[in-house]
Amino acid sequence: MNPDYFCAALVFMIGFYAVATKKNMIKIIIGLNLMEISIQYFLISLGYVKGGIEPIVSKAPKNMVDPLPQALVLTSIVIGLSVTAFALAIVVKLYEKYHTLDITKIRGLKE
Amino acid sequence: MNIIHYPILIIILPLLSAFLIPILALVSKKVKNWFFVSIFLLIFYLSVATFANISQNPISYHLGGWAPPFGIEIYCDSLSCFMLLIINGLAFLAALYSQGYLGEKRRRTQFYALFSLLVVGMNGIVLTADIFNMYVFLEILSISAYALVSFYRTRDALEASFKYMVQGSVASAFILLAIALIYGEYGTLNFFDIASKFAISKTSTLTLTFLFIGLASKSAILPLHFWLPDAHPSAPAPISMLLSGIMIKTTIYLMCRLFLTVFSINIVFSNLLLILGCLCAIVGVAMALVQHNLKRLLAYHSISQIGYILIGLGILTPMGVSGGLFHLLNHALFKSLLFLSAGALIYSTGSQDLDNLGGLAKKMPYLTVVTIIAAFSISGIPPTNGFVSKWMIYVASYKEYPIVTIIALLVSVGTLLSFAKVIHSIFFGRTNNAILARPIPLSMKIPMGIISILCIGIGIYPAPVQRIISTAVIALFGKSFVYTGLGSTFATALALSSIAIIVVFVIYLSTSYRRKEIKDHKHDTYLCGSGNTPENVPGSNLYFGVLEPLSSFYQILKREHSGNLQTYIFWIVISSVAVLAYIWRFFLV
Repeated sequence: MNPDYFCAALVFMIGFYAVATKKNMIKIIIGLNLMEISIQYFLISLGYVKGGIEPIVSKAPKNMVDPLPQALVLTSIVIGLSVTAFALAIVVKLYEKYHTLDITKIRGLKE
Repeated sequence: MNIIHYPILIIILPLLSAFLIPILALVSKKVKNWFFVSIFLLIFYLSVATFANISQNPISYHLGGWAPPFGIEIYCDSLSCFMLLIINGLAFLAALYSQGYLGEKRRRTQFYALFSLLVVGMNGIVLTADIFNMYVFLEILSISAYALVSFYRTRDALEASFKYMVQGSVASAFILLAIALIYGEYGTLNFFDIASKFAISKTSTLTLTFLFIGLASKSAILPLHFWLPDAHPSAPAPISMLLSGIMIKTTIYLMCRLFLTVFSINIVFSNLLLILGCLCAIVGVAMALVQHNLKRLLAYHSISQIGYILIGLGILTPMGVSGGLFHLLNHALFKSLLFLSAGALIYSTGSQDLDNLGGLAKKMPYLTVVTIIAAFSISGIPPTNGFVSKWMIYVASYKEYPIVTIIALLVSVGTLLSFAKVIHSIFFGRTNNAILARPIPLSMKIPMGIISILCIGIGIYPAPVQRIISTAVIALFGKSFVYTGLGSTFATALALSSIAIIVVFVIYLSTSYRRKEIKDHKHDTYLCGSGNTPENVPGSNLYFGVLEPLSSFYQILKREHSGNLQTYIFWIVISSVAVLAYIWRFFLV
């Protein structure tokens, strides 16, 4: 198996583990970020060509890196950034109201 | 202007409004408000114009002039148009409603900008034919939804927003992973290109699982629904209406589009939908029966009505799919109406707790009538629109899956029970609390009136809507999938039940003049003759006797709806494993 893919899968698992088990809201957000980053890593490694050059068709049409995943990753980084910024803002507000970062203690909504 | 440019304008115009409104706010408050409402009217007009001109030729628009599969394709067929009509019609009504609802509250500009972005996301999702573009629109939709849920910045709103955000982001990550896998395997992102290259392999079972779980989580299908009853009630009423009425359906639209036309895994998809649909319907209504917060109760009903839509789509006969799509439209209408009347109730009295309210029928007759129409529609009582679509689902499911029909009927009974409770405790029942009722402004009354007229109108004369839906079904399955109409039994059922209702009404009218003569207090509604000591039966223990035998079932439900985020994430893991095992077994063993 491609070592890049393996690493991406590993990082994805670590991120998902953090989201599923951690109680601290900041750690949950770190977990979400790890999941996103691992997918971005996976996308980049999909387009990677060993010894390939930059994707400018007029220079060398053959043997170039696939440019599309890079464009996708740029978009997905922007999306990830905005979600993270928003999540951190919510955490700040939640901390002001509850004085805790433990998500298991914030349980006003149930049933 | 050429009709081919309309779809992209439908996406661009709300995006423009989202960024123009903060600038206009610097000029004048009035200009901002008028601009906001009129731009949504314009978008609605564009969707109607697109629909009127589309006939059988879908519009394919290449963004930036780059031909697919390299460029992004905007694709608009009858099914997209059907969704566009629902989305933009209701978005316009919500924009109008929010004029009165927001009152003199500040932060209107932020509300308008986020509202516009929400509409951009929904319109984009139903129009795009590029799978990564779909992800981008889904994220625009989700992020603006997270922000709107936390709009009031109360404790509950912030908590709901955070939990929604975590579950939504996990779902988005799953969808992005599926997209990466698709690109890795087939080297393309265009829907039609994927459709021509798709083949079942070990990787593609994983892709399908991630995509299904991601989209199911976004459309709140059991057991991935935990964010919905938290998030939808916390938002302002016009937003609750858009979230519950349309947003969760755009992802159902995507599931149909992807699994039925792109991947064409009809049988697996149909089985999954039937099982999950029944689960959604039962659990949604069971949880709704024990709620005493009005908006939370409505949110649980969204889950159970989503169950009906899934059942209809899962039957995969022309009648079933048409019933599912019809119910999608009807649910958008009556759930919007219910959320709007809940909003009017909050605006007017400041409370939404069934235990504290009562006796508002005399103070707010308009709201009472509107809510009763919506409650009848959601319970499927003729002659309202809910009856037509539920009838189609019953008829379609009865031949092959009689057990599904029985479940659907029982859930309808549960829905009616739950709304009898709502109407009893808010409008007719007694309360000892003094309730101040503020008058509702006209800009809130008009949208509610329009939707309730539509609810009744479609129920009495469903033929034009059925024509729209049959073109949408043809867009999904091709011309061979002919839809034959409701048949004569429907007319008989509608006529008989309408006659019954008219007879009851006439009897009521003919006896009511005598009732006025009796001045005795004990004959008032909901007093049961107990006269001077009016018993206050609050909403939460109205069905104590019915629910008590089910207490062990409710204990399980309450344990799972614990408010604990980790339980919710745990269910995502379990359902991913289950769906993967099912798809794997179906295709590869």
